[in-house]
Amino acid sequence: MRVLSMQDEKDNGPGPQAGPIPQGRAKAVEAVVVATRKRLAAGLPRPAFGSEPADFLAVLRRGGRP
Amino acid sequence: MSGNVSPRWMPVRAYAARIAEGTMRAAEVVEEMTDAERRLRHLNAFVRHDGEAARRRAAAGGFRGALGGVVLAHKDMIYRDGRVTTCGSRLFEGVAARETATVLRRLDAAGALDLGTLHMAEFAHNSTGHNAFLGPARNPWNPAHITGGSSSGPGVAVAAGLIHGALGSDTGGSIRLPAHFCGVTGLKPTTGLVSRGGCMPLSFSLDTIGPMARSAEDVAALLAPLVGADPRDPTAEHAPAADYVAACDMPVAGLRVGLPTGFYTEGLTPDVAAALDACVRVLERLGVELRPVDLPDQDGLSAAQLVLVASEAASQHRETLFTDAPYDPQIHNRLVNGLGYSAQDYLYALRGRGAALAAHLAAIEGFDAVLTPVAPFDAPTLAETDIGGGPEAEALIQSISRFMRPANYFGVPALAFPAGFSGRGLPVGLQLVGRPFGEPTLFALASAYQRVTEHHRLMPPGV
Repeated sequence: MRVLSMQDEKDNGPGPQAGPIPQGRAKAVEAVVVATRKRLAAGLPRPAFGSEPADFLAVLRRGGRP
Repeated sequence: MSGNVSPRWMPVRAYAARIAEGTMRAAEVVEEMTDAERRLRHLNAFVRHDGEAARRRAAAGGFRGALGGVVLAHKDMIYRDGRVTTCGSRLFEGVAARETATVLRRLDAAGALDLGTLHMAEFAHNSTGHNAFLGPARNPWNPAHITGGSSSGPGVAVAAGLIHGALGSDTGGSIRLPAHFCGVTGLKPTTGLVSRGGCMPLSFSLDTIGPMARSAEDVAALLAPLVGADPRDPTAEHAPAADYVAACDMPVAGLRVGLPTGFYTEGLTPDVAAALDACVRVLERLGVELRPVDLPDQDGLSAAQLVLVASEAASQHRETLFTDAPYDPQIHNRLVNGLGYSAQDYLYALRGRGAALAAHLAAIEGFDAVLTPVAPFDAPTLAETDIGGGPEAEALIQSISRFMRPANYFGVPALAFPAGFSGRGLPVGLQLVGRPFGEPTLFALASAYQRVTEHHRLMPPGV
């Protein structure tokens, strides 16, 4: 296995300064987009503040009430 | 219990009543407990024993509050201003705390006596009771066996009658495991019920402070003065009003308790399985309805808890991990491992907590509590578990605490209580896991169980 160098990080590293998304990563991003569209098409709610039980303490406190 | 039982072993409320009416002297009880500690020092329960100071305070009398004269000591990570508090680590050897924990202030106000600080795993970060700096704590039922951890000293000291009760901490089972292995009762409270202000942090998302004592009634009596908002801990701002002591007398007939299958029944020794079966039969005789319950992926939740505690503990120790600070190699390795998780790993585990709790609450809809083992086995020997800091140590610690971690991830209460003995005479405990702020229901169930069983009243040999 080839050891990554600093140059690799410059060429392929994260962030907008790295230019176009490398081929492998582009495929992964596309897979996520396709999966997300499928989830939305299946009727799953799209993420939004207040629409999912993401706030742990809020769920905990609500869960304590009958 | 007989009327002439030593005050070392008396129920907390009955003892406090005798002190209040002047028919028993707290100073004499402190002396008796101090003598017992000298005789049982090989158990290594205390890090610091303040017997003389506690005796003087007891002799002064004038107790006010529900815990007047009750003798307590606490895990060595709950700070009292001016008192050396080591957190179980050579890093803090001889270093005095500069603040007093909110929980200690509240116990002081309730009239409790403080007999000193108790053994613990270094930085509360293992589940066995081994500690390279302090030496291992030893199980009062058989000193060749572990106590469980990380609240090892509270487990030993309560089981050996060296105190009436103690505070421990529970991030991934650290109150419930010593309760199980040592044969005492211990509560991991709902997240936010008890302030952590002035206590050592291990994992700020998961840490809880809770009481350990011989019975559920004693634990309820110790919990009562602890509850309440505290500006020193932003999570401790919400708690429904509840009378925990009165809850111990609530009727339990008709309550519904879930019996999870799969995860919580895998790999149990016959002794633990038998204790669980026997407890079910007792609860059924009390009129409790027990039914199987299917819980969501407990392995996944357990893994998420591990990501949180490893990442947060590493962040707490980041500044000293790569210095020459004298960590025990096992603890150091576990802390360093926490640096290996990515921000995305950590955030995924953290962000999933609310959704996972919501799914758990949906799964236990219609149930008042869930009954599970605390650990798959009784206390292993010290020799079996003294395995240094390699990968096998992580596997051992995880095998001991695997039934513990979901309750910490959910933030729900869990009460561990004695439920029998193994064939080799070591205690076996079980846990009741409740709904958020469902401590009163747990106290009702465990107290009803303890009124018709003797496990929590039995004393280790030679104490």
